[in-house]
Amino acid sequence: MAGLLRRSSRNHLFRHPGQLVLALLGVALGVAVVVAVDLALESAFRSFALAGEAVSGRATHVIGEDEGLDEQLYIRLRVEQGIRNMAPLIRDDVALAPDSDDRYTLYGIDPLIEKDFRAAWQKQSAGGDSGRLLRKLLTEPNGVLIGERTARRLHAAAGDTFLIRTATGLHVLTIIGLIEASDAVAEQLLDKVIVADIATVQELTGLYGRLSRIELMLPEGAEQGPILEKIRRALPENLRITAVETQAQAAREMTEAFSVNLKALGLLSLLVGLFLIYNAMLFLVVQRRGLIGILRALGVTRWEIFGLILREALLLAVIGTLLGTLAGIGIGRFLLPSVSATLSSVYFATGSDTLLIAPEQIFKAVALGIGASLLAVLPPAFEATQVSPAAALARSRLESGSKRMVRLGLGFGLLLIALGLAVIELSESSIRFSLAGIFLLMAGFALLTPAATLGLMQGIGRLVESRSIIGRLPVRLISAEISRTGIAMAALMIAVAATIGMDLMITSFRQTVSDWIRTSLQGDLYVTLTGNPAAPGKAAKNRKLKAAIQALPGVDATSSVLRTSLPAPTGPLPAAVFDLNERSHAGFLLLQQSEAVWERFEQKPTIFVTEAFAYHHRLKLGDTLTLLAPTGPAMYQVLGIYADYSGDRGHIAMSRRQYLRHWPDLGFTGIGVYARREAGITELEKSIRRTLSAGQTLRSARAIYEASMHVFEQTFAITETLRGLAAGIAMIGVFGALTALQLERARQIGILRAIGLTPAQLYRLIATETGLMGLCAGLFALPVGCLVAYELIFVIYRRAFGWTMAFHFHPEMLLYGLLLAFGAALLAGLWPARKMARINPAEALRME
Amino acid sequence: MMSKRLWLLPIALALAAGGGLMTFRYKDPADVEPPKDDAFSDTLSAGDPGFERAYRPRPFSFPDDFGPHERFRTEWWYFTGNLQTQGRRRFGYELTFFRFALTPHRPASQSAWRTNQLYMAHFALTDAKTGGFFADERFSRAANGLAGARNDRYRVWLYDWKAESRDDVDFPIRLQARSGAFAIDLNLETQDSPVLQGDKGLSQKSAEPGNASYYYSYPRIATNGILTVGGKIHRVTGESWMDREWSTSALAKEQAGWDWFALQLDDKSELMFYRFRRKDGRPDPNSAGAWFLADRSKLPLTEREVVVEVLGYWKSPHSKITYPARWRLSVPGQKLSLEIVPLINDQELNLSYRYWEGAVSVRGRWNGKEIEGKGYVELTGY
Repeated sequence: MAGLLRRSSRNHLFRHPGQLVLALLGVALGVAVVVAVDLALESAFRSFALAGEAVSGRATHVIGEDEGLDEQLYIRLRVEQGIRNMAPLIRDDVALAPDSDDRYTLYGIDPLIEKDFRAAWQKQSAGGDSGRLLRKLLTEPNGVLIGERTARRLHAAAGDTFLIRTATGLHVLTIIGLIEASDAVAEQLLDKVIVADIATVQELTGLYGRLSRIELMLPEGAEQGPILEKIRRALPENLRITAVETQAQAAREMTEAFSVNLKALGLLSLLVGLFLIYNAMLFLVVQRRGLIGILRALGVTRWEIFGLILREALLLAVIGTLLGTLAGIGIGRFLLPSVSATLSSVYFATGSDTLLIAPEQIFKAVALGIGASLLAVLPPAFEATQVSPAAALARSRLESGSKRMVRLGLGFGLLLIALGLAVIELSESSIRFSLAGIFLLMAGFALLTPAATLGLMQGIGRLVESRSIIGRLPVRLISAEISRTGIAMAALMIAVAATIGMDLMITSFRQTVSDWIRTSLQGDLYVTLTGNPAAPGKAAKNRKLKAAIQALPGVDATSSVLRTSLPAPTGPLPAAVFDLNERSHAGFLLLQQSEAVWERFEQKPTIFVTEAFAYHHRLKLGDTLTLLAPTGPAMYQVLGIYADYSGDRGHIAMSRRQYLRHWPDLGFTGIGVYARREAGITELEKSIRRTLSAGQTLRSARAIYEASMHVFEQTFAITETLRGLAAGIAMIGVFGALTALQLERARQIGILRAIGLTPAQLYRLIATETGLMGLCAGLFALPVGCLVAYELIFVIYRRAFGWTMAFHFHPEMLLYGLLLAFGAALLAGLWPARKMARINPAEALRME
Repeated sequence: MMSKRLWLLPIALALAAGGGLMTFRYKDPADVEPPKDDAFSDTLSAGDPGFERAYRPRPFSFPDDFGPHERFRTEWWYFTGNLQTQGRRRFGYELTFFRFALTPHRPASQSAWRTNQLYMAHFALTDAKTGGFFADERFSRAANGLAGARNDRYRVWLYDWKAESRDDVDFPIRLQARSGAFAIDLNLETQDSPVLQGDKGLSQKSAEPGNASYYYSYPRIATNGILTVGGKIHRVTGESWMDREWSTSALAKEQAGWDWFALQLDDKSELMFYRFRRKDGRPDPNSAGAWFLADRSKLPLTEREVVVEVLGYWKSPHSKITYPARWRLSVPGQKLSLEIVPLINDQELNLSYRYWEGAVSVRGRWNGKEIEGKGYVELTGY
């Protein structure tokens, strides 16, 4: 009997190969989209983490701030304190001479530090000839090591020379050896890096007596404490020792914030996937009702049938999940380059192009595919087996049952929406919870879709009451078969709502940033100064340059900024030190400010903080922030909070006058030039360029604006790609659902054809129905999309970045969403409509 | 507002945070057993006519000759000693500072890091009771105060390891070295003058003129102080041996390595003998040494006068190298026969430059009378 049952079930599937394929497609697509997005994101982040590890290497701690440190500190720690596993390091930016803008990083190292702490390349470079290499590194004048990739870049080999320009002038460097990178990550990190002995670098840069920092590899565990204490006691007041994790943590938090977008999309794909699977499996049972009724009438028990359905669903789910996982890996591989490219462009090179597949990700996919399938099959299977055989044979019973389900969905949907809103509200700064809230919110709206559709259809039904039966039929069909149409529409709605939400969010963000950059750039030209701030005489040279620019005809005023970090009890805080003029005041978008703000900013111990900084450090207007000045703790009052979208951690702004009261002059990192009204910018640009030397670049406000917006677009490029992917897969899913729907109603269509509907009329009927479904889904997606955008902008982004964005509403975006839904549904309905219209009525009737 | 890099800032920040951390370090999982680094021996391979060489005996003058002779390529300050606690628990120690010149002349530079002089130091402890052996090394350039030696008083140091005159220009000398849970802090005191090895301090290493070193020793220095083994502190006394040697010599092509014996006998005499081993196994006529008798008279020893028999071998479980581990050293002309046994076999220094150097016990007969002693043996080129 069991064999017979299985055969009957199998035969049913084989007799409806279209439906079999669609069911598999639904499961596979649902799994694929989740797997693809998940894998691509995780791989990018993981390789990013790996790169981070490679960067920090074996160092556990670092001593040194922006301005560097006196090399005698290193000697004291080594000789007097006997601290082991320390690496002195000096770095400087150099230009590939003679007049290239190409920047290289010059590192000065001590190759003789403890072997455990030495860079791996030192052990393996030059084919084991490390003694010769060491000797050359220490004795060859201007002898340097470069990575193989850098060598290719320079078209140079070991023994060749090349020219660089540093603060002290032009220097000919001799390549004494090539550094072999053991893997892609190391190769990437070694790119455009020049390594030399510390003495060589001091001679090249003139940074005598200075180090950029000291790296340490301290033992783990209980031994660390006393050593750390010993070091702390030996450090001068302006220096501190920082754990590398703290530094890495900062980098991780930055990417964390960036990943919010992508995680939101990952959740969206999960939701779409769930609906697709649910839809596919639901059909499997619903179609089988006739067969179930017959079997039951023949005396097969409920549980036998229930088991049969579950077994079959499980089989399909397993095959579908397998296919979906494979497809997901394929799509993930295709997505990964653009995910990594975005990470590389915004943060730093990850050099990742291999997909890292973790078992837990595969497990997630399997759980999703099989779990969602069974979950989808259980209620209808249960329902179909519980009713009497006669009822099972009647479809009307199912649809009236599903009306109950619609009401249940409405209640449950409202509950989920309320829950989602509550979770978002209560999740405080946890981005993970906020996103979970968004997920609940959207799932809730998806559950509402069938009810909303019914309502809408009633409305439309009344409108078309007077029209012909052909006019009323599509509306009635949607309502009557809500069990199937509803779910397809919910999937479509979610895809469209997410598209609208993300679009609104990105547009708002773009507009806000663009406005902010335009306001910030009050000057006409900006000089960027690089190089080691600790370089002797740099401050004086910078001041001289600023005075020289100020003296140029056509220059109305100048301003300056120094980007540095200031020590605070919690660790160094990023700071910008400003020397402002009247015109530059307008560049600060002060969101909150006190009275007589500019005068007090200059004269009193006060600071501005960026909005993100205020958010992360929980600062309000009028609060005080303690900084550790060389003379002792100093209190600064927060005088204003200003908009700044340049980083997601924020920084302090202090006037140069206040800064110089406690800290050494480190020169500037930028000079702003404000032209006289009548002055020609191009002329001015030329004359300023003549005053600049290596490492100093001049750019117009316009060029900066364009470059900034370019980076912005790059950042969001991946968001676009992923969104497109999720929407695309949702469309395919909707197509599958609609096709299944049409195929399944062959009998209906046969009747319609039999009572005289022409193929053209039938075609129009189906097209109208699907178009109407799309329109409905689109209409419903509009408010949902706006709500999602609102939550993203005002809740999630604020929490992730501490930024306030203006909500920029674009009516055309809504129209676009509507058209997208309508178009997608119509397109999806075309093929089944054509197929059904062509069908022979008698044959269609026989098919059931 | 000022010249902002705006969106470029995150890049700059990431570079500051990430690039800030020495960009070219990465973990290499294949790097479990690091390949032997011949850095130091390789730096010495290139012959350079600019270096000074030891051709003829020279007068020694102190404190000048405590200090470095930078025009010679290699130099060392070699301390070894046998120590014991009141409970007669025996320890051995080695603390050696090596100097290497990469070029004959010190380059001029404004950078305090620029030098042609490198230092390497080895520190080893032998615990006869537990069979424990511990060794570590340090490297540094002799610049900026990181390492070096002085010629106005006895002071040689590398980071926090040092041998330094306590208050006068010479003895007492304090030796300090620490590596994790192992440390020494010893006081070395002697009233003796140094003894000159070889021909008035010129120690010929091969037939080639100039392939020789200047070599003097303090073969017996009363020692007391503190020794930390595995975090446990022991108060110890005993006797040390200090060798000072500098040269621009290298092993001749046919020489494979050497066995060096420094023995302190209980009749207050000391015997030093180094035996070159030739690759072809034949005796090397350049092997030599001296026996400094209790009355401070010196008995030079040539290769033909000394017979060294290997009585036993030991295979290192670390390097799989087989070393001789028991000898009979006899001087038939003097009716001296000594059996030399390591305190423990495993005294192999598995450092960048691998060799065996260990504390030994000596027992034998001289003119029919029983004689005992202690010492150190060094085995290289195995």
